[in-house]
Amino acid sequence: MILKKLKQILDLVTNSKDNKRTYIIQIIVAVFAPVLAMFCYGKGSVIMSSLVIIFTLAYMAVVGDIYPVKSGTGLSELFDNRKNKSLLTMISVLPLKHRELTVLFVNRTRKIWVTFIASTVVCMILEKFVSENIEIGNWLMFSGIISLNWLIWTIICFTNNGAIKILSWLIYIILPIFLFVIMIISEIADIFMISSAEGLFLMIVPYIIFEVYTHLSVLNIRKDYAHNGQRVKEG
Amino acid sequence: MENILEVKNLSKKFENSKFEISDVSFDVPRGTIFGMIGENSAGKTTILKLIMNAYGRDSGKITAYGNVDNIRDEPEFKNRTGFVVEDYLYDTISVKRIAQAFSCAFSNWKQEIFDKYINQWNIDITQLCSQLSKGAKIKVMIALALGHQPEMLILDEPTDGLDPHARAELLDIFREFVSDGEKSVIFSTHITSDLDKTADYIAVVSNGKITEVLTADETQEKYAVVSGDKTDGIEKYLIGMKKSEIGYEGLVLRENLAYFDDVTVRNPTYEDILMYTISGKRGE
Repeated sequence: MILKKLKQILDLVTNSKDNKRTYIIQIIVAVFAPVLAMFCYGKGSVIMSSLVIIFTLAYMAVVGDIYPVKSGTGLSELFDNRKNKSLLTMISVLPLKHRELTVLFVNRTRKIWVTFIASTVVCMILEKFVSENIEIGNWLMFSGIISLNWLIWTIICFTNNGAIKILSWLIYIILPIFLFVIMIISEIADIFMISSAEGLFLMIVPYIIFEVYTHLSVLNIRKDYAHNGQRVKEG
Repeated sequence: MENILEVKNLSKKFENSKFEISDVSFDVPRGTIFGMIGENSAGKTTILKLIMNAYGRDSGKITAYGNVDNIRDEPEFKNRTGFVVEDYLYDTISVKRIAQAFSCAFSNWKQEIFDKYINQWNIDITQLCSQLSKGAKIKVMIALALGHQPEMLILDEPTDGLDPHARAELLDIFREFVSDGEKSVIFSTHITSDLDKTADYIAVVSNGKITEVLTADETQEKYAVVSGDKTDGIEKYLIGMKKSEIGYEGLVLRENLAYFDDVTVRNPTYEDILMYTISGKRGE
């Protein structure tokens, strides 16, 4: 019986055409992330352990929000099918590139912002359990950088003003380098009690996540929409 | 005449479905209105969605505006093409917000054009899309499509849900749109009288294939509708027919008219073509 269930779960996870895969992945990360986080904490890094949870929550929110939905896809159920169909049709109408589309639709849901704020609060509460001092600065900076990243991306994608677009690109590229250098050479790192390695992690990971995510997620949407046979019946 | 759109050997199969688009080819010349007719689930919407790359094609090629491939050059293709397909208007945002999104996305967006149609149709742009009627939603999508000054309009059942006055108005817009001889309109419809009034070409879609592409003149030259009392011996010349208590009516090739005696002959409408080449053929 257990083996049969395991096989069913394995089939769901490995079957890329089935949206239940997303649901299963969400459950797995939701269960294992805190365990992994505590393990990281056991190794002595509050930041690392909390980051695991933040990214887990962010991943679940992002994937759950824009992944094509049928049923049983956890957070995705917040999107009903009809709205999702509108979203997919709009993707097909607009002359935008993949990354631009992702920004558009993630921004539209706005749930990503809520998730980041919520995850920051959750992490602070968690930290309260394991430490006397809550390092609020870490979490505010972390959420701030991610929010700024999305804001700049939105401007890059949707402004018609060439100068603003160039300026946004410059900020997008220079800001993390600038912050990282400042963090290393000044006492800011000491104030926030962040080592340079953790600082690098804080700076780089959001960017890597966004780059990979934005490319993959819309490709997933398109693939699903184009090939899963959701043919509209009106002919 | 230069073609604005060329579709070659387009095919698409769907998982978990017997339906497929099979080897569809057609050209749309500049300055023309190209209508697609067919029954429900014939494949009209699917062909239009393949053109807009909403569905990935299995094989074939779609090019527009000379050498703009609908997949390779997708942003340019969509920037130059206005689509009105399904209902992509979010319920929870206003018409104004959608227009703002379009104005950022399309490089040729002209607010005056959008405003002109929105005012003409008395649509309140502060309304949420959920508050719009079906007809108003279609009008908004048409205004959005025209607002970015496309060279080609592709519309799926655009007259469905419109009252007769609005339909006539829309058909006038189509005619005006193509009047410079450079732009084209492609639209699918169940309402064949719309095609009689406007279409330069019609494509008959059946079972995922385009069975015929005709001009209005070719339709008259090629086909005739005959009606008479008895079908004895001449049934094999009828492409499709319907029988009644008083006799029959059917579609024939004009070259076969010589086989028919004592019949009334008239020119076919597009509805006749649709009815007799598809439904009538199956004896429905």
